[in-house]
Amino acid sequence: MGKAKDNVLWIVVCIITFFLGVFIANIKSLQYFVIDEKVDIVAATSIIATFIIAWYVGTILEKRNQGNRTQKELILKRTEDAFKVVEEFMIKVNTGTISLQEAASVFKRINVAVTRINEALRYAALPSDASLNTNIVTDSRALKDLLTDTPRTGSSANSSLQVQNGIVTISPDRMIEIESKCDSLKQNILFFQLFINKC
Amino acid sequence: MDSIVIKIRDFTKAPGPRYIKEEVRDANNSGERFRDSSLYPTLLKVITESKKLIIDLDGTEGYGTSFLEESFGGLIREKGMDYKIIKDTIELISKEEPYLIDDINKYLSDADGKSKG
Repeated sequence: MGKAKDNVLWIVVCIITFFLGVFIANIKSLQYFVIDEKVDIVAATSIIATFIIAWYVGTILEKRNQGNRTQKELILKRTEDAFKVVEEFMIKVNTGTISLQEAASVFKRINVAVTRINEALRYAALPSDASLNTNIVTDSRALKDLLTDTPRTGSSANSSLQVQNGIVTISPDRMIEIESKCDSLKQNILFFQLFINKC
Repeated sequence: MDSIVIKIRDFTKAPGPRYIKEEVRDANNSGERFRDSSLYPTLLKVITESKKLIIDLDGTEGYGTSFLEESFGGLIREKGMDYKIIKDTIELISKEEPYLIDDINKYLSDADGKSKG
Protein backbone atom coordinates (compact mmCIF):
# COMPACT_ATOMS: atom_id res chain seq x y z
CA MET A 1 0.00 0.00 0.00
CA GLY A 2 2.77 2.44 1.01
CA LYS A 3 4.85 1.52 -2.03
CA ALA A 4 1.91 2.11 -4.42
CA LYS A 5 1.37 5.52 -2.81
CA ASP A 6 5.08 6.35 -3.27
CA ASN A 7 4.88 5.36 -6.96
CA VAL A 8 1.85 7.58 -7.56
CA LEU A 9 3.61 10.49 -5.83
CA TRP A 10 6.72 9.86 -7.95
CA ILE A 11 4.68 9.91 -11.18
CA VAL A 12 2.92 13.14 -10.12
CA VAL A 13 6.31 14.79 -9.40
CA CYS A 14 7.61 13.70 -12.84
CA ILE A 15 4.51 15.10 -14.61
CA ILE A 16 4.71 18.42 -12.73
CA THR A 17 8.45 18.68 -13.50
CA PHE A 18 7.81 17.96 -17.17
CA PHE A 19 5.10 20.62 -17.50
CA LEU A 20 7.22 23.08 -15.52
CA GLY A 21 10.01 22.50 -18.06
CA VAL A 22 7.63 23.03 -20.97
CA PHE A 23 6.27 26.20 -19.34
CA ILE A 24 9.76 27.64 -18.73
CA ALA A 25 10.82 26.75 -22.30
CA ASN A 26 7.88 28.77 -23.68
CA ILE A 27 8.62 31.91 -21.72
CA LYS A 28 10.24 34.29 -24.11
CA SER A 29 11.36 36.91 -21.62
CA LEU A 30 11.65 36.82 -17.90
CA GLN A 31 12.86 39.84 -16.01
CA TYR A 32 16.40 39.42 -14.51
CA PHE A 33 16.74 35.89 -15.97
CA VAL A 34 18.25 34.62 -19.21
CA ILE A 35 16.92 31.37 -20.61
CA ASP A 36 19.41 29.60 -22.83
CA GLU A 37 17.97 27.18 -25.35
CA LYS A 38 21.24 25.23 -25.46
CA VAL A 39 21.92 22.58 -22.84
CA ASP A 40 25.38 22.33 -21.27
CA ILE A 41 26.02 18.54 -21.20
CA VAL A 42 28.50 18.83 -18.28
CA ALA A 43 26.02 20.79 -16.17
CA ALA A 44 23.20 18.38 -17.08
CA THR A 45 25.33 15.35 -16.19
CA SER A 46 26.34 17.00 -12.92
CA ILE A 47 22.69 17.63 -12.00
CA ILE A 48 21.71 14.03 -12.79
CA ALA A 49 24.72 12.67 -10.83
CA THR A 50 23.89 14.90 -7.86
CA PHE A 51 20.30 13.71 -7.97
CA ILE A 52 21.32 10.02 -8.07
CA ILE A 53 23.82 10.43 -5.19
CA ALA A 54 21.25 12.30 -3.09
CA TRP A 55 18.73 9.55 -3.70
CA TYR A 56 21.30 6.80 -2.92
CA VAL A 57 22.46 8.44 0.33
CA GLY A 58 18.95 9.37 1.38
CA THR A 59 17.35 5.99 0.86
CA ILE A 60 19.69 3.03 0.33
CA LEU A 61 22.54 4.01 2.71
CA GLU A 62 20.23 5.37 5.39
CA LYS A 63 18.12 2.22 5.27
CA ARG A 64 21.25 0.06 5.56
CA ASN A 65 22.59 2.11 8.49
CA GLN A 66 19.22 1.97 10.23
CA GLY A 67 19.17 -1.82 9.78
CA ASN A 68 22.70 -2.15 11.24
CA ARG A 69 21.81 0.08 14.18
CA THR A 70 18.74 -1.98 15.02
CA GLN A 71 20.67 -5.26 14.77
CA LYS A 72 23.44 -3.93 17.01
CA GLU A 73 20.95 -2.61 19.56
CA LEU A 74 19.26 -6.02 19.75
CA ILE A 75 22.60 -7.80 20.18
CA LEU A 76 23.82 -5.27 22.77
CA LYS A 77 20.60 -5.83 24.71
CA ARG A 78 21.51 -9.53 24.95
CA THR A 79 24.98 -8.71 26.29
CA GLU A 80 23.45 -6.30 28.82
CA ASP A 81 21.20 -9.13 29.99
CA ALA A 82 24.26 -11.37 30.51
CA PHE A 83 25.97 -8.56 32.45
CA LYS A 84 22.89 -8.15 34.67
CA VAL A 85 22.81 -11.90 35.36
CA VAL A 86 26.41 -11.72 36.64
CA GLU A 87 25.74 -8.63 38.76
CA GLU A 88 22.57 -10.01 40.36
CA PHE A 89 24.24 -13.35 41.00
CA MET A 90 27.23 -11.69 42.69
CA ILE A 91 24.91 -9.88 45.11
CA LYS A 92 23.76 -13.31 46.28
CA VAL A 93 27.30 -14.73 46.35
CA ASN A 94 28.44 -11.84 48.56
CA THR A 95 26.17 -13.13 51.33
CA GLY A 96 28.64 -16.03 51.69
CA THR A 97 26.23 -18.80 50.71
CA ILE A 98 24.70 -19.80 47.41
CA SER A 99 22.59 -22.62 46.01
CA LEU A 100 24.87 -25.01 44.10
CA GLN A 101 22.24 -25.54 41.41
CA GLU A 102 21.68 -21.82 40.98
CA ALA A 103 25.43 -21.27 40.54
CA ALA A 104 25.61 -24.00 37.90
CA SER A 105 22.58 -22.65 36.04
CA VAL A 106 23.84 -19.04 36.05
CA PHE A 107 27.10 -20.00 34.35
CA LYS A 108 25.27 -22.07 31.80
CA ARG A 109 23.05 -19.04 31.03
CA ILE A 110 26.10 -16.81 30.57
CA ASN A 111 27.97 -19.25 28.33
CA VAL A 112 24.91 -20.08 26.24
CA ALA A 113 24.19 -16.34 25.90
CA VAL A 114 27.71 -15.76 24.51
CA THR A 115 27.18 -18.60 22.00
CA ARG A 116 23.81 -17.18 20.94
CA ILE A 117 25.22 -13.65 20.60
CA ASN A 118 27.93 -14.98 18.30
CA GLU A 119 25.33 -16.79 16.23
CA ALA A 120 23.38 -13.52 16.00
CA LEU A 121 26.54 -11.64 14.92
CA ARG A 122 27.12 -14.21 12.17
CA TYR A 123 23.46 -14.00 11.10
CA ALA A 124 23.68 -10.20 10.93
CA ALA A 125 26.97 -10.51 8.99
CA LEU A 126 28.71 -8.49 11.73
CA PRO A 127 32.30 -9.36 12.71
CA SER A 128 33.06 -11.23 15.93
CA ASP A 129 36.21 -11.34 18.03
CA ALA A 130 37.26 -14.87 18.98
CA SER A 131 39.63 -13.74 21.75
CA LEU A 132 36.89 -11.72 23.49
CA ASN A 133 34.54 -14.73 23.38
CA THR A 134 37.26 -16.99 24.73
CA ASN A 135 38.02 -14.56 27.57
CA ILE A 136 34.37 -14.45 28.67
CA VAL A 137 33.90 -18.21 28.54
CA THR A 138 37.25 -18.82 30.30
CA ASP A 139 36.37 -16.41 33.13
CA SER A 140 32.89 -17.87 33.44
CA ARG A 141 34.25 -21.44 33.64
CA ALA A 142 36.88 -20.40 36.19
CA LEU A 143 34.18 -18.72 38.30
CA LYS A 144 32.03 -21.84 38.07
CA ASP A 145 34.97 -23.94 39.34
CA LEU A 146 35.57 -21.49 42.20
CA LEU A 147 31.92 -21.81 43.24
CA THR A 148 30.96 -25.40 42.46
CA ASP A 149 34.11 -27.53 42.66
CA THR A 150 33.27 -28.78 46.13
CA PRO A 151 35.87 -30.90 47.96
CA ARG A 152 36.15 -34.68 47.69
CA THR A 153 35.94 -36.78 50.84
CA GLY A 154 39.42 -37.23 52.26
CA SER A 155 40.82 -34.48 50.10
CA SER A 156 42.97 -32.09 52.13
CA ALA A 157 42.74 -29.37 49.52
CA ASN A 158 39.78 -27.14 48.83
CA SER A 159 38.18 -26.59 52.19
CA SER A 160 37.22 -23.18 50.86
CA LEU A 161 33.77 -24.52 49.97
CA GLN A 162 31.43 -26.51 52.18
CA VAL A 163 28.20 -27.95 50.84
CA GLN A 164 25.17 -29.08 52.78
CA ASN A 165 21.61 -29.58 51.53
CA GLY A 166 22.61 -28.16 48.18
CA ILE A 167 23.86 -24.90 49.70
CA VAL A 168 27.50 -23.90 49.30
CA THR A 169 29.22 -21.91 52.04
CA ILE A 170 32.16 -19.86 50.78
CA SER A 171 35.24 -19.06 52.86
CA PRO A 172 36.48 -15.42 53.00
CA ASP A 173 39.67 -16.33 51.08
CA ARG A 174 37.66 -17.99 48.31
CA MET A 175 35.35 -14.97 48.24
CA ILE A 176 38.28 -12.70 47.37
CA GLU A 177 39.22 -14.98 44.45
CA ILE A 178 35.58 -15.05 43.28
CA GLU A 179 35.25 -11.25 43.40
CA SER A 180 38.46 -10.81 41.44
CA LYS A 181 37.38 -13.28 38.75
CA CYS A 182 33.93 -11.72 38.62
CA ASP A 183 35.45 -8.26 38.00
CA SER A 184 37.46 -9.76 35.16
CA LEU A 185 34.32 -11.37 33.68
CA LYS A 186 32.38 -8.11 33.86
CA GLN A 187 35.29 -6.25 32.26
CA ASN A 188 35.41 -8.75 29.39
CA ILE A 189 31.64 -8.48 28.85
CA LEU A 190 32.12 -4.67 28.70
CA PHE A 191 34.90 -5.07 26.09
CA PHE A 192 32.55 -7.33 24.13
CA GLN A 193 29.85 -4.62 24.24
CA LEU A 194 32.34 -1.96 23.10
CA PHE A 195 33.45 -4.22 20.26
CA ILE A 196 29.87 -4.77 19.06
CA ASN A 197 29.18 -1.05 19.32
CA LYS A 198 32.16 -0.32 17.06
CA CYS A 199 31.02 -2.76 14.34
CA MET B 1 29.12 -50.06 15.88
CA ASP B 2 25.84 -50.11 17.83
CA SER B 3 25.41 -47.58 20.57
CA ILE B 4 23.38 -46.80 23.66
CA VAL B 5 22.48 -43.21 24.53
CA ILE B 6 22.31 -41.74 28.01
CA LYS B 7 20.65 -38.35 28.27
CA ILE B 8 21.60 -36.82 31.59
CA ARG B 9 18.38 -34.75 31.49
CA ASP B 10 16.48 -38.03 31.83
CA PHE B 11 18.31 -38.63 35.13
CA THR B 12 17.81 -35.06 36.35
CA LYS B 13 17.03 -31.67 34.84
CA ALA B 14 18.93 -30.00 37.70
CA PRO B 15 22.24 -31.75 38.36
CA GLY B 16 23.23 -31.28 41.99
CA PRO B 17 26.20 -31.76 44.30
CA ARG B 18 29.07 -34.27 44.30
CA TYR B 19 27.79 -36.73 46.92
CA ILE B 20 24.47 -38.31 47.83
CA LYS B 21 24.92 -37.05 51.40
CA GLU B 22 25.04 -33.47 50.05
CA GLU B 23 21.77 -33.70 48.12
CA VAL B 24 18.73 -31.66 49.03
CA ARG B 25 16.18 -34.14 50.45
CA ASP B 26 14.46 -36.20 47.70
CA ALA B 27 16.38 -34.38 44.95
CA ASN B 28 18.30 -37.53 43.96
CA ASN B 29 20.56 -35.51 41.71
CA SER B 30 24.17 -35.93 42.84
CA GLY B 31 27.07 -36.95 40.64
CA GLU B 32 27.68 -39.96 42.85
CA ARG B 33 24.09 -41.15 42.38
CA PHE B 34 24.21 -40.60 38.63
CA ARG B 35 27.48 -42.52 38.35
CA ASP B 36 26.35 -45.44 40.51
CA SER B 37 22.79 -45.80 39.27
CA SER B 38 23.13 -44.98 35.59
CA LEU B 39 26.56 -44.25 34.13
CA TYR B 40 28.62 -47.09 35.59
CA PRO B 41 26.09 -49.94 35.05
CA THR B 42 25.39 -48.77 31.50
CA LEU B 43 29.10 -48.45 30.77
CA LEU B 44 29.71 -52.02 31.97
CA LYS B 45 26.85 -53.23 29.76
CA VAL B 46 28.11 -51.52 26.60
CA ILE B 47 31.67 -52.75 27.20
CA THR B 48 30.37 -56.32 27.54
CA GLU B 49 28.30 -55.95 24.37
CA SER B 50 31.10 -54.16 22.49
CA LYS B 51 28.94 -51.11 21.89
CA LYS B 52 29.48 -47.38 22.16
CA LEU B 53 28.02 -45.22 24.93
CA ILE B 54 26.83 -41.81 23.77
CA ILE B 55 26.31 -39.34 26.60
CA ASP B 56 24.14 -36.33 25.79
CA LEU B 57 24.92 -33.44 28.14
CA ASP B 58 22.30 -30.97 26.85
CA GLY B 59 18.90 -30.08 28.27
CA THR B 60 19.79 -29.56 31.92
CA GLU B 61 19.84 -26.33 33.94
CA GLY B 62 23.65 -26.52 34.12
CA TYR B 63 26.36 -28.61 35.77
CA GLY B 64 28.41 -27.84 38.82
CA THR B 65 32.05 -28.86 38.46
CA SER B 66 31.78 -31.39 41.29
CA PHE B 67 28.83 -33.22 39.68
CA LEU B 68 30.76 -33.92 36.48
CA GLU B 69 34.04 -34.63 38.24
CA GLU B 70 32.45 -37.17 40.58
CA SER B 71 30.43 -38.78 37.77
CA PHE B 72 33.32 -39.26 35.35
CA GLY B 73 36.51 -38.95 37.40
CA GLY B 74 34.84 -41.23 39.94
CA LEU B 75 34.63 -44.04 37.35
CA ILE B 76 38.42 -44.36 37.64
CA ARG B 77 38.89 -43.29 41.26
CA GLU B 78 35.97 -45.14 42.87
CA LYS B 79 35.14 -47.89 40.41
CA GLY B 80 38.68 -48.66 39.26
CA MET B 81 37.83 -48.51 35.59
CA ASP B 82 40.54 -48.20 32.95
CA TYR B 83 41.03 -44.74 31.42
CA LYS B 84 41.64 -46.02 27.91
CA ILE B 85 38.60 -48.31 27.95
CA ILE B 86 36.41 -45.41 29.09
CA LYS B 87 37.83 -43.11 26.40
CA ASP B 88 37.35 -45.75 23.71
CA THR B 89 33.78 -46.50 24.79
CA ILE B 90 32.14 -43.18 25.53
CA GLU B 91 31.25 -40.37 23.18
CA LEU B 92 30.22 -37.07 24.73
CA ILE B 93 27.91 -34.68 22.91
CA SER B 94 26.82 -31.14 23.77
CA LYS B 95 25.61 -28.43 21.44
CA GLU B 96 24.74 -26.05 24.27
CA GLU B 97 28.02 -26.20 26.17
CA PRO B 98 30.65 -27.91 23.99
CA TYR B 99 33.48 -26.98 26.40
CA LEU B 100 32.02 -29.49 28.90
CA ILE B 101 33.50 -32.23 26.73
CA ASP B 102 37.01 -30.83 27.35
CA ASP B 103 36.22 -30.49 31.06
CA ILE B 104 35.14 -34.14 31.35
CA ASN B 105 38.17 -35.36 29.41
CA LYS B 106 40.33 -33.40 31.86
CA TYR B 107 38.55 -34.96 34.88
CA LEU B 108 39.18 -38.41 33.40
CA SER B 109 42.87 -37.77 32.68
CA ASP B 110 43.40 -36.15 36.10
CA ALA B 111 41.79 -39.12 37.85
CA ASP B 112 43.89 -41.49 35.75
CA GLY B 113 47.07 -39.54 36.60
CA LYS B 114 46.29 -39.64 40.32
CA SER B 115 45.43 -43.35 40.25
CA LYS B 116 48.81 -44.11 38.69
CA GLY B 117 50.77 -41.53 40.65
